[in-house]
Amino acid sequence: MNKMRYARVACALLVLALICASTELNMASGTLCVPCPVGVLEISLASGSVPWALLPGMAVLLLAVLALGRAFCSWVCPTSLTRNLFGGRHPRGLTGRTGEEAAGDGGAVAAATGSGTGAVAAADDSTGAAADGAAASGGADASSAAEAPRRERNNLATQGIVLAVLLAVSFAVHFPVFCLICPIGLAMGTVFAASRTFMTWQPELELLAFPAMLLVEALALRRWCSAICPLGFFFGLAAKARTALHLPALPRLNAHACRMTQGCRACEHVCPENIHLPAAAPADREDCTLCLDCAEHCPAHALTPSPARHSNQKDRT
Amino acid sequence: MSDKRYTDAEASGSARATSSGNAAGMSLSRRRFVAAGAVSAIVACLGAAGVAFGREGRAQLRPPGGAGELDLEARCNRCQRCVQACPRGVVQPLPMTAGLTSVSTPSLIFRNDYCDFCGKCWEACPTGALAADAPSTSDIGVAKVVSDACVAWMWSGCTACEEACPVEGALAMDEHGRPVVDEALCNGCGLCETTCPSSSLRAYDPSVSERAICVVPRASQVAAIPGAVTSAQLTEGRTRAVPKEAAHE
Repeated sequence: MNKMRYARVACALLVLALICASTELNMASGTLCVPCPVGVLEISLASGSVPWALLPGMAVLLLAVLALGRAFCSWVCPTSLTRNLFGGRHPRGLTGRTGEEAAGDGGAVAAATGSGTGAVAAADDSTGAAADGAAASGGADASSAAEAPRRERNNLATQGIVLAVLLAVSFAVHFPVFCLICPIGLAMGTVFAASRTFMTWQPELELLAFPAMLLVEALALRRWCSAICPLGFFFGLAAKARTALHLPALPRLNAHACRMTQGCRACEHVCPENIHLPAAAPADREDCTLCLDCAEHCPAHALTPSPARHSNQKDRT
Repeated sequence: MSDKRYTDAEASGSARATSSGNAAGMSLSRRRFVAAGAVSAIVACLGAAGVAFGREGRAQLRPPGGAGELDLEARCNRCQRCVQACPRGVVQPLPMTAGLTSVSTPSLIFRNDYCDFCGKCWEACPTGALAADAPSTSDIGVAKVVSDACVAWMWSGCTACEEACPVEGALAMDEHGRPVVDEALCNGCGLCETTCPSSSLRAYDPSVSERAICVVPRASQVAAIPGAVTSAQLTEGRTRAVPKEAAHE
């Protein structure tokens, strides 16, 4: 049922394990902080000199976002890992943006997927009946859309404000101030605080403080990713560039298989970003973090993570 | 036929999405601006707190290549590459108790091993926080004898640190058989501190330093005390810098 969630947790844990393993093997791979564009700007302003050695890594990270979209957010970022592990990642279609359950939320999904799969057989046989069914379910869909939580876009403006403030503060106080509260930095700090504790056998405060701060940011501050994360500002820009360059949209939609016309909104209901893939404009898809929950829950298996083309599928995106 | 139906549905679907997107407008964006403003305020407070709480007065034992506290804190992006690179595991990130501005920046712990100036840490550093041309690449700090912990000071006979010292003349025994550090020659490699058997030869006393010879930063208050120091002096002034006015005198 939660295959993709387990896969994402496994991927993020694997990255942490690789960092631990390279520490054990004395390989200076560095943490996730090495390619961080926010860190590069922070220490450039704080120290008054550009760390040129960090720029290639940063370029690779941003090119990866350009090529794949914001997959880092779902598959590597410790904030997502925390949410995947401790249940902070409720798709808004299921439990509303504020966290409280919408009335009959589970039923809505069941109805949507049910009507979608139910109508499939009819649609293939008689087009007239299917058109009626589509109209009816479309009507029901419109009413449920009115109750559905509104779509919250990744907000470059608020992320930009946070970025500007943290850069100004870093410049003024001469140290990278956001690194102290960055969830990625906190997760990395916890790993290395633990490894130091195993060496000195003197547990320090941050063994508790770092994970606690990470939990607060990931679970209590629900808007962290979309409104605050300054790394998201750079990823958002890269995603915009992706749209502008007409790079292939991921996950790929097989329009023939999709049952949207029968009222199926399964992909939108499970999407943490509330994207309705079959009808989404390219600009809406910029928020996609490639979590692939939609591909897992699509009753018609119309969504594939691979950008490869198949001869019997039409690419509508 | 089916394609046409699909296009119509898509058009109505995207129209709905756009209209609901516009309707989302005000209250949502206001909440996000509040959230962003709150985090910005926290960032500003952290910056102010970092400067306010005695940042100038600290001296940490930094890996070779560190060019001074303020410079290192400004350049270090806390990527931990130096920690990973160190083949002896003596480079470790600083805890929160060492100060807000230096959290997770590298320091040296000579508990299990010493520094042989192999240079892997400053080679691994991508930001220049540890630089190959800094004077500290051959001088980390200075060893201080802790008189109330030292077995040779209390009784006599222990010469473990003097035998271990790799720098000729940096550590010698005086006429009473007590270790004396030549502070000009000592490079702070930490082999004496690693070797010191004091804690295993004495009865346990939490107020006395575990090691009877400890490497301290040259800028620290302990380093400014001539000769041997006490455990209390070591705890008090190990990570505190000599005030600037005093240093000029």
